[in-house]
Amino acid sequence: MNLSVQQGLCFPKIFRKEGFVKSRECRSAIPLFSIFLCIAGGYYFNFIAKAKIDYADFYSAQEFSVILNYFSLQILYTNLFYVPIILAAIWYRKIVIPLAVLLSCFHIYLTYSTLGSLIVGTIERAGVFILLAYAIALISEEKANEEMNVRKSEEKYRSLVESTGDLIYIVDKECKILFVNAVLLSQFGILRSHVLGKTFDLFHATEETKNFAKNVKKVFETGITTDYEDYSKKYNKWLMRTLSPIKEPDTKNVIAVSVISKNITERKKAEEDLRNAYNELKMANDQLIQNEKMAAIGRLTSGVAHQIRNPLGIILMGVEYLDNTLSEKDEQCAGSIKIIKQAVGRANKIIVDILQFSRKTELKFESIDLCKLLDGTISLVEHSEDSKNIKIRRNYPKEPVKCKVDKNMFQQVVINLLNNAVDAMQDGGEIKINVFYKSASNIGNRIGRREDDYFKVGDKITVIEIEDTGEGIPEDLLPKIFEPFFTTKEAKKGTGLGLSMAHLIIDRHRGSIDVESEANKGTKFIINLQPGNNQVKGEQYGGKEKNTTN
Amino acid sequence: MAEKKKILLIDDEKDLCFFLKANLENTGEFDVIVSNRGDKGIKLAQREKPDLILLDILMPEMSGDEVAEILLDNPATAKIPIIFLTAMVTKEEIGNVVKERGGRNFIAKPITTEELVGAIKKVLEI
Repeated sequence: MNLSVQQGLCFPKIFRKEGFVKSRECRSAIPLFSIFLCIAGGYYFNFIAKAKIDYADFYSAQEFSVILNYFSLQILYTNLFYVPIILAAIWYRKIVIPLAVLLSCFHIYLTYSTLGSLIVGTIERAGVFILLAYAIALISEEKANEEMNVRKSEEKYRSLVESTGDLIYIVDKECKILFVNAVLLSQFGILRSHVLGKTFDLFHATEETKNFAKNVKKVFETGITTDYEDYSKKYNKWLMRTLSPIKEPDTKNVIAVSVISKNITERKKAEEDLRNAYNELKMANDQLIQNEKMAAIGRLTSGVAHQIRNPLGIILMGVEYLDNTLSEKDEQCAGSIKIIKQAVGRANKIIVDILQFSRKTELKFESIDLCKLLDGTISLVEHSEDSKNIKIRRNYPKEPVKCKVDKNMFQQVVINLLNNAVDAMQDGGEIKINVFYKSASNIGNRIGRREDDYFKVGDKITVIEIEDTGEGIPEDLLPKIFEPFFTTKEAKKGTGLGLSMAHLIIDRHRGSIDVESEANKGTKFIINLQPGNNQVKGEQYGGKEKNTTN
Repeated sequence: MAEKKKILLIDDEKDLCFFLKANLENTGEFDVIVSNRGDKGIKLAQREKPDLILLDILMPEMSGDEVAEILLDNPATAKIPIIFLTAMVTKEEIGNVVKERGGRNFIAKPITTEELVGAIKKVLEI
């Protein structure tokens, strides 16, 4: 680079003029001067030879040599005068080129006279020097142009590197910084000299350095560009670093690694927002699908149930008719009739459940003490045969927990959950019932910011937990347990509608029900309800219904 | 022994009518007359003046709802108590007339004779 600057100073500006080498005059000058050189050279040596012959009769060989030496010295002295002529010729080559051509033509005429030969010889010699100088000038000019191009391209790259918004630096194998662009100066207010020669770990956290060193090592080993995203704790930024190898031109060995460090914090934030929005949307969508599914099943089963009830009525009446009319009933017959009657009863029970499930009855919300209601419901289950080995522990707040619920519906939910808990603990165990308040904090589980979310962040929520120490629910079945007709119990024991009923009822209370379970450890159902002083909006799948208490 | 009560059963399910009639009469307390169509049932009610009408709601051509309206509009039959037999349960599914004027006597199918007799006796106050 420095060389080109020096050369540029030595030669007139015209040589650095862009496109000179490519210009028409220059291209045409080169062959013309070549021709001129041939002609001039030829005639010069011709002149010497001719002089030797012409003066051979008058001078001895020694004298001739002296004369020639004299002439040579003269030539040397004259040459000094040629220097300005050469420079002038280069400077005014536009005139010199046609002049030289003209002279060469004139020379052909003049060489036939002795005086002419001397004049021509002088001019020819000047011409040779001019040509030599010109050739040198052309070569230098080309070189200078080359250098200029290199410098320009370098300048271009430099401005590219310096003007970009990304931090660009070069590190060696030990992560020592060899180069850094201007972004660092503007972003961190650090001087280049403070950074160059220092290692990466001086400016970054340990974890980040480890990650960086690992990637640098990888680039050194593979010679392939790599990129990775990292969070910079120190600068509170997300960065995308692209590490590319810088190879030695001859050996192709990686000698350094260039790093482009892009700030992607905004993008990351946008991605995070997008992800959250997607999750929320997905959740809402799942809920919608679930609601739709349940509503569709409800409509279908309700229609089917009606159709089945009529034939069931006929069966029941028919069996009773047989019972009445068969005079010689044997025991087996009577037994069969009893079984048929029971089967009809069971079928009818399923239908009643389904109808209840799909029914659009209005809820009667009333403000009640939740603990009292729970106690009343527990007593219904407590005294059953199945629950004799089961201990029920209550953990209520001291003051009454007022809540607006539909008493009968809510009782049904609790009975369903308690029955499930009892069924899960065939060999006995413990049911824990916890009632407490909490503040809605996490997004999800119907807690959010939207109008149709049941809880807003910060809302006071009444929580009822019903926990058993039973066999637990396998993880893969957990998402299914609130689906209608999903059951793990034997056919006689359950229709698989209990939990979906519970889900439906709690949903209509604008609350949520969740489950946590661990195999062989137990299951916990968590009901989140609006606190008593909150207005409960009665909402029904596919439509709204009025709150009967308001 | 008390006089047998006359009961009119209007239901389009012939099989059910057959068994129901047989089972009710088997108790020895009731006489049952049957109609499988609403319009015929009305005529029968006007002619026979039953003590009680068992009326199905979902029937082709003329629903129990319409039958009840005509019976209640006619002074001759207006006083006869009606028990609605239905495979439906919800109030929304039951017609307006039944809801507003027909009283609250609903029996959901399937039903045992014992339950039915109990309901009839309750309505007739015997």
